[in-house]
Amino acid sequence: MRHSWPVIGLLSLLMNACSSEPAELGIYVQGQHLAVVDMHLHPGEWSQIPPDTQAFLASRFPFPLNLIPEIAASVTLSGEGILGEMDKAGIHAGVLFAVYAPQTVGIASNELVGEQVAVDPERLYGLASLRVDRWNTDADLELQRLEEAITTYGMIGVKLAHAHMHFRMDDARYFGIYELAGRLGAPVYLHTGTSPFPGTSREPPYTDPAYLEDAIAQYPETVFILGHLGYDFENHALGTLEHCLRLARDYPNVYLEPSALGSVGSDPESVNLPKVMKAIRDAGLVDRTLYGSDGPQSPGFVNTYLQRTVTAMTASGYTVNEVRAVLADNFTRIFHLPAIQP
Amino acid sequence: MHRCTGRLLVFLAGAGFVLHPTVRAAEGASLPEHPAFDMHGGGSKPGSWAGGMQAGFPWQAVHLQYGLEDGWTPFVEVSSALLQRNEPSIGLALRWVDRPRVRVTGEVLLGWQVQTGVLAHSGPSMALRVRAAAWVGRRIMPYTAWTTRHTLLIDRTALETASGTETSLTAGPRWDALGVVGVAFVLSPRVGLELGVEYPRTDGSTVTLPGVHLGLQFGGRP
Repeated sequence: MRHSWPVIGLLSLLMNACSSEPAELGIYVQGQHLAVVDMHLHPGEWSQIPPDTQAFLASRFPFPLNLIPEIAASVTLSGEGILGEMDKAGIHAGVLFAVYAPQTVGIASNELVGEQVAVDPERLYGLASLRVDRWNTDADLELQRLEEAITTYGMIGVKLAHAHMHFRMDDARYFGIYELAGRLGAPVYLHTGTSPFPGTSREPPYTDPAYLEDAIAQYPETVFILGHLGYDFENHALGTLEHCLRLARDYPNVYLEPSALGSVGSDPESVNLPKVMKAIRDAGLVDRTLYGSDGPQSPGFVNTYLQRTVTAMTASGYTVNEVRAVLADNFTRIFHLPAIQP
Repeated sequence: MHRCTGRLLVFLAGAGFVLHPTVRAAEGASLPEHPAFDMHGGGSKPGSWAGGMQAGFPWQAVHLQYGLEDGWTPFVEVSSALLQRNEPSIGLALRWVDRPRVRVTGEVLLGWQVQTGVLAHSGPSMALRVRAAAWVGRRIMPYTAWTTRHTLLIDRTALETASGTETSLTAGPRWDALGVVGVAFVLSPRVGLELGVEYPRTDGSTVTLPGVHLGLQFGGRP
């Protein structure tokens, strides 16, 4: 890297210089103090991201951080950086995702996630992942590594993204992942909907959770968390939201997570996230919904997304108890973790 | 009060305290010809030259100018954001308002923007800038400058096929704007020091962070 550590230090200072004093954790809704868990956060290493995706990510950084994205990323994508963003947002706990999508969004290994979780294991958790691009030869080895990550290294779940990893949701060759996750009691988080990243699969078998139905039905002990609710990130449209809601209604092992779809970039007019949160409540699925942001993305994103989500919930008539459930209680219940006191 | 604002005020107060003994020595200098006035108000008197350097986050810049007759001043400048986005330019300034304590100048710049790194691009640019500065007493000079820059980004696409490589060039416009407000202090009859805050708008809709810089101005007659 051409830039030196003093530059990184200066950048860290600048990125935190204008922040308010460390915020009290939790948020207030209608006068009640609520705990918050962000179950969708990405640590990473810039060098493990393909060039096209680096350019895509850099283009979303504010100027002038987009000129030095590798330095900005080294600050924001570290465990310390993510904790800083969580502090600014008042978030008690966060879940860091491992990613193995070398052709699209890159690699954040289980080992890397484990290292970042170790920065503050009281507040950070990890979801493990695995490679599927050499599945015909390496399936057993990859499943073994995944099991080790969960049983030995304390990961609490599994992260998959069919569109990023280029395997179909209905391909039964991969159902062993769900079987293993169910056996270990590790919920599976799945990216659903199209992806804004270059090189991802956009066809329905990779993006529409209706193609997951066979796996959902076949493994009732496995928790399936449908990330992004089938959102169409290309066209900023609701995509296959209705399929997600139907699956959650029909199968008790299906959960919902509305991250990223309500960001300024993906929902510029702030209309889709309120629609999604209202549809969840109207469908009686509040107790199946977990909060996540898909941060840190850029400085301030984690906080902004939390505010937008809470605003969308209150505008949709959520009670305080319903907000509490979405922001923390559903997460701790599903992942068998102690309840978080605000 | 916001923490940044508080820090800025503390810095300015500190700067004024530090400069106080020095600026006394500058009393008696001709305000209309001071290099800080020429740099921030724009333009130089015929036969005078002025230069400036600034360093900060994210911009660094150097600027040199020489005054001609009838209010015209040619100049060269190179600015850089974090040494990644570099913009060498030549320009011409015309003093619109030229009074002893107030100056307003219009400038036109022609240059080339070269950005390296992940979002590398380059292309010719043209910018228009308005500067204004006024003396407050004999030591302090608030100033402002507003720039609109239009760059033609050129992309070269090489398509490798079985029959050979086809290369094509495409171009697209990009608009950047920059507002600067600051205050300059007299260090000596020929040297000034300034602190400025920048409010950029880059790459059309890209969210931008404000910048800050310290600068030095100097000049004289050959």
